[in-house]
Parts: sequence; C-alpha cells; structure tokens
Amino acid sequence: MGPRSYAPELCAFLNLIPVKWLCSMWCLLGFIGCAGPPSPCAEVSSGPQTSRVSQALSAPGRYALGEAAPYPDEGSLSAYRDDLRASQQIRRELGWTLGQRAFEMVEARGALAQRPIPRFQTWYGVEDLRRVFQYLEQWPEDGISGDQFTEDALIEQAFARNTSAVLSQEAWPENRLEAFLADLETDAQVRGAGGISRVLYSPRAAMHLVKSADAISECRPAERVAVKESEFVEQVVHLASCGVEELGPFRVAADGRFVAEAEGEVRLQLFGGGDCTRNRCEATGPVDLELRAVPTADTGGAVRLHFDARPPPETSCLEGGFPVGSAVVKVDYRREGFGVEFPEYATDASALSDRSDPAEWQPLGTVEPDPESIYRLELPGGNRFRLAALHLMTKELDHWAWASFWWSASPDTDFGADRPPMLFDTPLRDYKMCVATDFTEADPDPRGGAVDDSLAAALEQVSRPHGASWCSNPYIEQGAGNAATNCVGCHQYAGTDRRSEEILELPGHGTRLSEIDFPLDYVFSAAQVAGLVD
Amino acid sequence: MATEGPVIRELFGRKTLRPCLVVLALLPELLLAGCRDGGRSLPSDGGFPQDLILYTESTLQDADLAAQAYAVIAAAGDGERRCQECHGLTVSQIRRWGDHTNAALDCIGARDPALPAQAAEIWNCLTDGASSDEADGATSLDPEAMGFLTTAAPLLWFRQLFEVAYAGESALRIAQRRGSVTMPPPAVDSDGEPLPDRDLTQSELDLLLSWVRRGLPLLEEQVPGGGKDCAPYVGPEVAGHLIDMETQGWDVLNRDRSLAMFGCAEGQSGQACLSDYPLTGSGPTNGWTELGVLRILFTTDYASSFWTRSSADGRYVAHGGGSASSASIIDLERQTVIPSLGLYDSGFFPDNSGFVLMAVGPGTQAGFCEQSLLDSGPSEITYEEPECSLESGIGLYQHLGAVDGGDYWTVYGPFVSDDGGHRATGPLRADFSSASSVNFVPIIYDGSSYSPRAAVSVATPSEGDAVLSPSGQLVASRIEGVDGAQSGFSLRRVDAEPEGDSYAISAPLIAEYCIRGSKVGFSFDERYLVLHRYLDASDAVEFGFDGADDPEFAAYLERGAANIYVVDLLTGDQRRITRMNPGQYALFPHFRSDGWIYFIVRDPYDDALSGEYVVASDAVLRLQ
Repeated sequence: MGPRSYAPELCAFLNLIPVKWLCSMWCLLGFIGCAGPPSPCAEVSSGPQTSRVSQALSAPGRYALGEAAPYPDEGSLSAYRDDLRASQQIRRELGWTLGQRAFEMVEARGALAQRPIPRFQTWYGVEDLRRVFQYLEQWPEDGISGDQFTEDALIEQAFARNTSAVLSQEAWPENRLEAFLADLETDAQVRGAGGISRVLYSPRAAMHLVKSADAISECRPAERVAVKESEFVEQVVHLASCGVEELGPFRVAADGRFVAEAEGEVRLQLFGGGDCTRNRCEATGPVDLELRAVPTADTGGAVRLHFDARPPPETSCLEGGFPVGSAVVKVDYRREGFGVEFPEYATDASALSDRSDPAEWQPLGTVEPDPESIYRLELPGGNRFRLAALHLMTKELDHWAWASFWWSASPDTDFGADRPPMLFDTPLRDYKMCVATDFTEADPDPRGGAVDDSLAAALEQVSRPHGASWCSNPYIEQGAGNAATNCVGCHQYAGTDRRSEEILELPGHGTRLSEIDFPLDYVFSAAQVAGLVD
Repeated sequence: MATEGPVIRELFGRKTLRPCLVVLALLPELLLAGCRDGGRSLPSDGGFPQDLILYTESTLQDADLAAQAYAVIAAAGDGERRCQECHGLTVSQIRRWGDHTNAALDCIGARDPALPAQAAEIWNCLTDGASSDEADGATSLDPEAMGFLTTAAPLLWFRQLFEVAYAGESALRIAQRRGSVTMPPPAVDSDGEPLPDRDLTQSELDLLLSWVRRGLPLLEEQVPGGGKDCAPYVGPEVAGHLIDMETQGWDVLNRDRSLAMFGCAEGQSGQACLSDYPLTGSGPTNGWTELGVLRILFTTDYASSFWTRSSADGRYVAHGGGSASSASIIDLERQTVIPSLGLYDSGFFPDNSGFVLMAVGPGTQAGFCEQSLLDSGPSEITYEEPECSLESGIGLYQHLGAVDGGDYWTVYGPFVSDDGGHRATGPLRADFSSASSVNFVPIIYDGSSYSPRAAVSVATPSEGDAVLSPSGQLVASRIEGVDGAQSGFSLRRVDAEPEGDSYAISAPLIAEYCIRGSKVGFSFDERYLVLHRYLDASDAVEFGFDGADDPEFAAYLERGAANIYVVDLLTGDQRRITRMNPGQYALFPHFRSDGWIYFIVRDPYDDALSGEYVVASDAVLRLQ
C-alpha cells in the first residue's frame, strides 16, 4: 500500500452522495486539507510563438517582481476524476477556483516588494528560462561546483540568481534601473513590469522544464502510439474468512475500466477513485487504485477483478510528467489604441446554436471595452494592452485541469452566470469561463445542473453526454472546428509532429483520446526549451 | 498567330541580359475580370487589331504639354504619387529616362507588334545585346533601358508584344512577365487585393511620350529646384544619442540577452570570433585588406541581386538571386543555401527575431517571417509557413529598426537602384528631388502579431536611399547635390510620438557628412556607418597612383571597383577598409550585432568564380 490521501477516503466513506460532493468541493476549493502531493499545471500555445524578445519579461522586470509566486495547489484531484467527469457543476466550480488562484493578488518579492500583483503575472516566461539556462551553463566558472548541490538545489539557485540578472547587465546601470522602478507607479504599470509573454509557467512547472531540458532537446517526434484496444485482465482473488485483504495497486489505463465484483458476503472499499455499491466497485482510468476486501461471513468469499492493464500515459520527452503544483497560462493580450480592433463574441445559447459547421467562432463585431471593465496593463515603454483571454492548465489531474477565461461585455450571463461571490472584486468579474477535465462528457444532464437559465441553455448547446467534452475560448480557438473542441484533445499532441490544423481535421476535431504517449505532457510550448540550451 | 510563336522565340534566342529591376507582380488586370486597353476595346475574340499605335502625338503647345506631362509622372489622378514614390523626379533623372525612351522608340520605329515578324524585330532591338536573365532562361526587357516605356507595359500595344514574344505560354505567365517590367509596380492592399492602379492611361502616355519626343521642352520649369550643398556638420544630438545607445543600443541589449554570435566559440567575442574561416590575401583575394582582417565565410555559386543583409547574430545572410530560386538565405552554420521566394531587399530585425524579403507576393508584398523558421532548417521559404505573413504597404528599398519594448519600424522612400557590379559600376547617382520624403511605417505589435500601419511621410528634400538605425531613432540618407550627383549623407533624429492610430513623426537634421557612397548600414551601437563606394578617377591619388592618367590606374578605370568605407558618426571621419583589385566589387556592407561587418565581393573578371564571396571584416572592432 502506498501513500494515500485520507480526506478522499473520508469523503468516500460518507456514502451520502451530496455530502460526498460537498466534501469534494471543499477539497477542491482548498477549504480543508485534502492531503496528497501538490500539483499545479501549465499550458502552451499550439500555434507559433509570436511574442518577441522586446515584449517579454525583461531582466529589470524580474528584478522588480522577484521570484515567482508558487501555484497554491491542494494536491492531486485524481480521486475526484469521476466526480468531475460526471458533473458539469463540480467542474465549473473547479474552473472558477483555478482562476481565483491564478488571479489572486500576491505581493511582489523583488524590488517592488509588497506591491500587489496577480499571481500568474509573477510566473516565469521563456526569457526567464533562457537566463536560468545561462546561469546553469556558467556555474563552474563561478567557482561553485555543481557537485555541491542536488540538481534541484542547483536549479533553484539559478532561478534565484535570475531575479538579480539585471544587476550585471550593461544596459541597466544603477541610475537607469532606479528610474525604471520609480516609473512603476500605477497598478497597470506594476502589472506591465512582467511584460506580456504569451506563455507563463508556475515555479514548479518552470523547474520541471529546466530539469527536462536534455530530454526535450534530444526528443524527436516518435512514431505515434495510438491508444490500444482494451487489454482486460481478469483475476479472481479468493478470500479467507475473517480477514482484510488489501489488493493493488492497480494501474488503470487512460479510458480503461476497472471493475471489482464481490462473490459471497464481501464488503468492498476502493481507494484512489471510482465508486462502490454494496458488492461492486467501478472506476475509469487513468487512475491508480487500491481495493480493500473484507469478508463478512464465515465462509470467506472471493473478488472477481476486471481491469484494463494497458500501460499508463507516458511522457517520453520529459523527465516524467509535470508534477502536481505545475500551472501554465497562455495569455491573449490586445493592444490598446493604434487602431487595433477588439472583437466581441457572444457565447449565449443562441450564438452557440448558430455556429457554423465546422464550428468556428465568429465575432459579433468590434467593441471598445470600458477601461474599468477589462484587465489592463502598461508596459515600461508605455504601450498598453488589454487581456482578452487567458487559458489556464493545472496539473491536479493526470490529463490536467483546463480552465479558459474570456472577456465579455455582459460577463454575468451564460458562462459567467455562476461566478462565485469570491470573484466579484477580482479581474475575473469581467470574464466568462469554461472548463474541461477529461476527453469525454459524462454528465448525463446536458444543462449541467446549472441553476441559471442562460448558463443551462448555453451548456445545452455544447454538451454531448457520452460524447466529447467541451471548452473553447472564442478569442483563442480560432480554427475551423475549433469552437467544438475541449482543450485536452488538442494538447494531447504536444510534442508530436502534428500541427494544429491537422489536429482539427481529425475525427471530432481532435477531441478524442488517441495517444498513449504524451511526449510533452500536453505543454506545446515546452518545445521552446530545446532552443534555449546549447 | 500562335503558330508563329516558336519562330519568334527562336529569333529571340538566349542572350545574356543585364540583370534588370524585376518586379514580381501578378498583374491586377488578371485578377480583375476587365482589362484596360488604353481606351480601346478588346476585340471580342481576344485578339488584337493589326493597326496598333503605341502613342498619338499630342497637339498641345510646349508649355501645356510640359505641365501636363510632368503632372502625369508626378502623381496619379487621385493624388497618389506615381514615379516619385520611389524615384526623385529631378531634371537629370527625367532626362536620363527620356534618353532611354527615345532610344527605345527609335528601336520600335513604325513597326506593328501585331505582325509577328515585326514584333520579333521590335523585341530583338529592345533587348539588344542582352538575353536570358530569368530563371527559366527566357529573355526579358530591361526596365531601365525602356525608360518611360515601362509605364506603357499594361497598355494594349505592349500586351500584344508580350503575347507574341512569349507565345505558347499561359496568360498568367505572360502577365507575370509583363508585370515584371511595369512601372509603377502594381499595388495591393493588406488583404492582397489589387488597389486602384496607378498605371498610365493611353491619353496620359500620349502626353508623356510626346513631351519626350519633343526633347522635354521646359523641363527645368516643371521640376522643383533640387539638389543642395553639403555642409559638414555634427550636431550635439549625435553625442547625446550615442550616450543613450551605451545602454539602449541593440549591441548592448543583444549582449545582455546573451545572443549567441555566429562563429564565436564559448568564451570568444569580438575579433576572436570567426577564426575558423580563411583569411583573404592569396590568389584573387590578394591585397584586399586595408584595415583589420577579412575572412571568407561562404562562396555562392550564383550572382546575388541587389543588396545583402544578415541576421543580428551573423548566422544568416540573405539577398535576391539564387541558383535555383529568386532569392536566397545562406545559413552559415550549416553552410547551405535556403531557397526563398521574393526578389530582393532582404532585412533582419535587430533583436534577431525575424526577417523580411520583398516582392514575395502580388504587388511587391513583403514577406515577414520569424527567424525561428530558419533555425528549424527548412528546405525552402515559401512565406506560407505559420511563422510568416505577407504584408502590403511597405515600399521597396525598405530598412528595419526596432524599439526595445515597443514596436518595429521600417522606412522607405525614393531610391537609386544599386545592383553593384552588374549595371552600377561607377559613382551612384542621387536623383532625389526637392519633393522627396521618407516614409516611416510603424509595425505595431497588436498582442499576437505585428502589422504595419499607414506610412507617415516626412519631407526630406533632395534626400533618398534612407536607412533606419537599429534602434529606429536615426535615419541616414544620401543627399543630392548638383545635377543628380551625390553631395553627402544626412543624419536625422526620429522623434515619434503616439498619435491616434499611429505616430506623429518629425525628423530634424542633426548631422551632415560630405562623403559619397551607397546606401549605408548602421552599426548596432549606432556609432558607425558602413558603405560601399564605386571607384572613379578622383580616387587615383588615394589609391597611391600619380593621378587618373597613371597607366597603372588604367585597369581600374576600365574594369571599375568598389570598396568598403566606415564613417564615424561622432567625428565624421571615414576610413577605407578594403583595397579591391580592378574589376572586384566589395558591396552591400552591413554590421552584425557585435561589430563585425559582412559584405559580398563580386568579381566578374574571375572566371574561376561562378558566384560571389561572403566576407567578414573586423575593422570597426579595431577602431574601438
């Protein structure tokens, strides 16, 4: 028996479903300690990286912000995967929670100490990683042997040095740096100190990328390994009377099924996920399970096991999958002024019903958002940008949790109607949200149990019970068919040689699980790391 | 008529034509259903009448004719610039075009292009002494030699001539060939759609050619006074700018970002770099060095077309021309040539982020790509890659700059074509009229991509061949002196302030350098200019001869040569860094981020050299 999360057990023991869900949500929201390894996640663009050096987080920007604030994960949510799959409502609560964590105001840790800034804006961009790699390469020259440190400690040292990289740069003598910091007066300027890198990584995700640099550099797109047909194993375990049998762990493949059936008077308990009735337990992979079988009669009994023994997901171009605690955002900023138009999208039931085939987002037109009703920032050079959309992936689940936010002029309807009160005073008050945690939609209610009619009606247009799940950001998902996708489907191809256009032409626009190897663990931009190391 | 095609083509043969200013263009009339015909209606069967008239002599008096004909070349009917969008309309320029026009008209005589035999005679005459200069071996007209007749290319008479000359080819291909000699070049909007054309109508052509045939009477009265003296002057703004560049120059920024310079091993920098490449000094490269060392980085097997530019890190070298493509990008690290679409006018952004080639798409569209595309080792560049985009609204002879943390910039304006060592073998003219202006195009980062805004035009009388500094804060131009000769270089500071959807720009003059030379390249610290200069008789003494009559100097006068010079913007001092042999042309110098200078050497007299050398100089590194 390996380490176990006790809170899920507690929840599982509370066989009253509503209470169990409530428990789950408490865990998800971080209100109680649901133990387990921390796990945030990150996300990357499938398209070309168009942000340039000149717009990215500069060394003085990092000096101002200091080290990035960790993503405040609450451990793995694998135990709740089935709950999340089966309930749009729980999923949406999770999505808002993830957003709250990303936008939570934290204090800058650098020269702008104590100035508040949204957490995600402190995270690391590609320029940070470039400098970290440079430090790692230079380390022996500094007279410090790498042997004195563990690999993690060495990388942590490099990240720490990154925060003061500007002090050794020709371009930033002391007086210029002081002037730079003094000019960061407004909140928008403080936000802009972080630049507008298109992809940002939480500390744990960034750390994992650095550790995986060699694997990424050496990786070549391999021959794709399609998901195999199920390889069911059937076992019968005979139980002696008056004993407790701990069985497992069982590694259940992605999309695989696990079934345990009691023969005789045997009480079953399943740990790690799934559900049990009196004499039968079921779960869907990918998940690691353990089973406790307790005969309740003198005659003993048996447990008949059926499960999919295919290998678990691989991440062949990384040093293992991203750890819990990893988070990645892809941000979509739009320039303010200079004739740059800001499109407006409708995501209500009517608009979703009118989507073309293949589904593609079409703007209603252009709009000039009220500056007070959209998240804005100003770069040190004076250029101002508005946040149109933010795509967040966090690694609480093997296949990540995906929450995508987009600006709306009517933010309290449809996909913004269930915004929890804790977000009313945050930038997310102006953004709508969709969320996905799996490839398939297992909520039997196409209206997702939504209380608000506009949300229920909108969900009804996109939900396909037992079909592909849905989460599509109108500002980001701009390809033909992209308005019918689910984040996770496309990102499974990160690290393969498939281009986004090809993915969208796959059956279901690429929403189905089709890979068993996830070379870059869903993070497209991880490939950039190969260009940062010699 | 079609049966005459092979005969005609046989008559034309394959000759060696001087490289011409080729403008790739799908003619707008192909994209539009209707065809212009200069006032005539096309026969319904698509054929041509056999009494085609190139132009009709005007009956206007000289004064009216001169005024109206000048107006034709100065601006289109809607006020949009015509010839002076790219060329200075000076007296000398117009006279030279007039001379070429007269020669071409004499060639044509009274022949009718609708008659195959006469069409062949016209073609042979117009391409006299020249031949194949196109990738497929076909003969094409030389726009320079056609003078004002380039403006007649879209009209019925020339359309008929091309139909006969290229009989058997598709209508599209013929249109492309005709588009390559059409002036003004076709323009398209940002979506690639043809803009209202600036072509001359038949009646406008009648006016223009009548004026030419009469000897351009009253020309001087039409042309605003052009040319200005050069007064050596370096304003205090130059020193102030150089101080700013000590922390904001792209050399510093790239160094701080640890931009890996090509040819620099770990721990190497400056002069120590590129040490793996052979020095010049033997064989045909003997005696080239005047200051510092020269290293041969690459030898092409083709002649490049117009200028050459390189990436900030020095790894990629790009120019028009190629052995199997219209443009080429040399990857020095892989020692290979990447074929590219586009024709000429390569450019790289100073932050090593992207590159551009001109005339990639319809209407001379610019093709912009992220430099990461080159890093991926592509077999060719088509500009259809996800890393690329096509942009309109950027004129030829453009140059690029970038503001750190801000937008990118490009400038274009009147230019003098310089295809060094091909047609240009002597001092470059500077035909920039008093109406000259430089056009600044802000390339705005909208959050996900860069897109150009409308050009902001700033008057720069008698200046042209403008080059933007890497920081986008300076612009250097050649100055027209007397009769189209160059009197020097101007240096202007670029003051750009956001205004509405674009910028308000002024460009006060801050220095003048009274020296001659080509379009310049700025060093990344913006302290130096580098340029090439064609040798002439006045250089004899500087080269150690007794004078232009010195018999030893005769080979230079016969074969010509071009050398590389650097100019210190702070002091105005210039240094020649090469001493090329007769017939050898060192051309199109430019800096990479760390101060090395790259240029090409063309030697049409070296039979063993099928292409050109790419050469690097450390001269400026020795001056610092």
